[in-house]
Amino acid sequence: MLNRADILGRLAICLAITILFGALLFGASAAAQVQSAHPFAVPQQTLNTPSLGWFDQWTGQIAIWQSQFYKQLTTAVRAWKADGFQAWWLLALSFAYGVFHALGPGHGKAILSAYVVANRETLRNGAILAFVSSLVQALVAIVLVAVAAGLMNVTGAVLNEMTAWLELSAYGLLVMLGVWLVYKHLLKPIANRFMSSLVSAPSHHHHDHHGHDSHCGHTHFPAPEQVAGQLSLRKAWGAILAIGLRPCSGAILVLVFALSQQFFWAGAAAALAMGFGTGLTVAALALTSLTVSRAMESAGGGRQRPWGRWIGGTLQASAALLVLLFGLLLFSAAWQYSVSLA
Amino acid sequence: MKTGCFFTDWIKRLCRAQSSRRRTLRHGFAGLVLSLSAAVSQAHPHMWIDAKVDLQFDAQGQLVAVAQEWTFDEMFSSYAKQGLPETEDRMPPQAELDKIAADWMSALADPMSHYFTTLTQAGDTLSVAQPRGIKATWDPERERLSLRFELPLLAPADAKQAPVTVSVADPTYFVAYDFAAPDAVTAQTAPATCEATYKRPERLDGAVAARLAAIPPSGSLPPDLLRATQSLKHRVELSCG
Repeated sequence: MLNRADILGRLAICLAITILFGALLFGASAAAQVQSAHPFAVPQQTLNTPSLGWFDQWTGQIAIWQSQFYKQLTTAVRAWKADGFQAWWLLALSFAYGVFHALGPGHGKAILSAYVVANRETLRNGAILAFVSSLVQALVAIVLVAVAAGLMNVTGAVLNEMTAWLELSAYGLLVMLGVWLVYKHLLKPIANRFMSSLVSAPSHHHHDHHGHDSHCGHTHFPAPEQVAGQLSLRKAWGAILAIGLRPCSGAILVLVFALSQQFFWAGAAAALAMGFGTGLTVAALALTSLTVSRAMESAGGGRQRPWGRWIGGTLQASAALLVLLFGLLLFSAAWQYSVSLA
Repeated sequence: MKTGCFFTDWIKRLCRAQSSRRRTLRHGFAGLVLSLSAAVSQAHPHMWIDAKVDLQFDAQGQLVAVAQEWTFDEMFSSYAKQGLPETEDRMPPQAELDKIAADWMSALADPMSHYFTTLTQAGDTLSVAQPRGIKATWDPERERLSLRFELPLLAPADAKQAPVTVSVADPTYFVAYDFAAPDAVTAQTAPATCEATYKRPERLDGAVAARLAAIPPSGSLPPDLLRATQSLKHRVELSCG
């Protein structure tokens, strides 16, 4: 049966693309994740090899810049305390730290880039999602430190455990998000196509008159053009929380330091500036991946043509699988860490 | 990232004694992911330590112990002090600091980190006994926490026969050490003929990096590569005439 061969082909291509991107793009951040949960889990020889190839050189250089900004944060907090006009210095440093932090290996930008491609978000919504999730991340750090360290006065070790649990919940959400996306963009279209091929004549590929193609298209939502301009929170909260629930440890540390200086608000402002910087980088990367996927779709003639539709659907399905893969990798790494804590 | 945010790992590492579970994990999932991405760990210090090393000798002029003092950066110091009770003069009680120091030392005893310190003589690694003289202190002026400890050698080393090298480094590059203080390296009880010199880490060159990457995680290093990896650390070289 032709249709079945087509479905299997699509599935194989999706898997291949996902695995390729997963290995290339995400390998670095996933490994960093595992490594951070188990600092000594990595063989010593490998660890003595700081940089190989342009990618590692690039991330290594970013890490150096990031460290330089970070190192000056404590001085900047004190300077602000002594002189209110020095506030801009702390804010600028934190913003720069955020920008470079997000350029290094990390999960937020990878998840969001895959998510917006899978959901075929508009550029505008992609950018909004990037900023909102980064700012939520900053707010989570601010609330965590304000309540746990400020009000309850817990120790650093307890803060670590709380962060680990937040991390685990974020990755749990990510797995659920991945499952949902895979269902929506891979399983459901395949099932629909399979069912319709069983039920109807081969001529079912009529192109709709009502602009809502549930057989060939892979979105069962209105076309992106129609939702452009509004971002449904109900649809996006999963992605926002999966990224934002895990507070950035750089933000936590600057907040705790500010707290020790009895100047918590400077820390909160710094955390928000970091979030804004991170959001900028994540938005840039999400927009890049959206633009590339759009260009690939247009190369096939756009959504109006079978090839363009095929490319678009395959990209969406691959991105959905990628979100699921990220989720599973990160969740199991965080799970192992939580188990070792308990 | 690392990813992400890498900060908490060191804190977690220091605040928790490590379980043996880790060793089984090393061969499981983590290994799988790591082999996917080859050597990813890049230099990304997130913590700075101003270090001091003092070489200690016995009456026969043999090296018997290495005393170190590590002063943590302000950010980490305030994080470590967070939640501790305070005395009237806003000092953390010494009993609390002792507890923290004991936790750190037991975490650092893990074979993978080994107090971030290696002693070698003529290509051999010198074994050390349990650390002693462990003490954490809070400097209220600079608002920084310091950790002091001594690593006694199992057998005294005679630097007259061959130079002894003390190297200090975090193999994960999470901690950046700094030996910039004028008194960073001392050898007060050393015989007059001995000289201790500090050598800064060298940059890893591409050829060595490629050879290192080709060695499987369980493999051992040939002597020249071992020397090359040693040269990436902060070193104190002791030679006695």
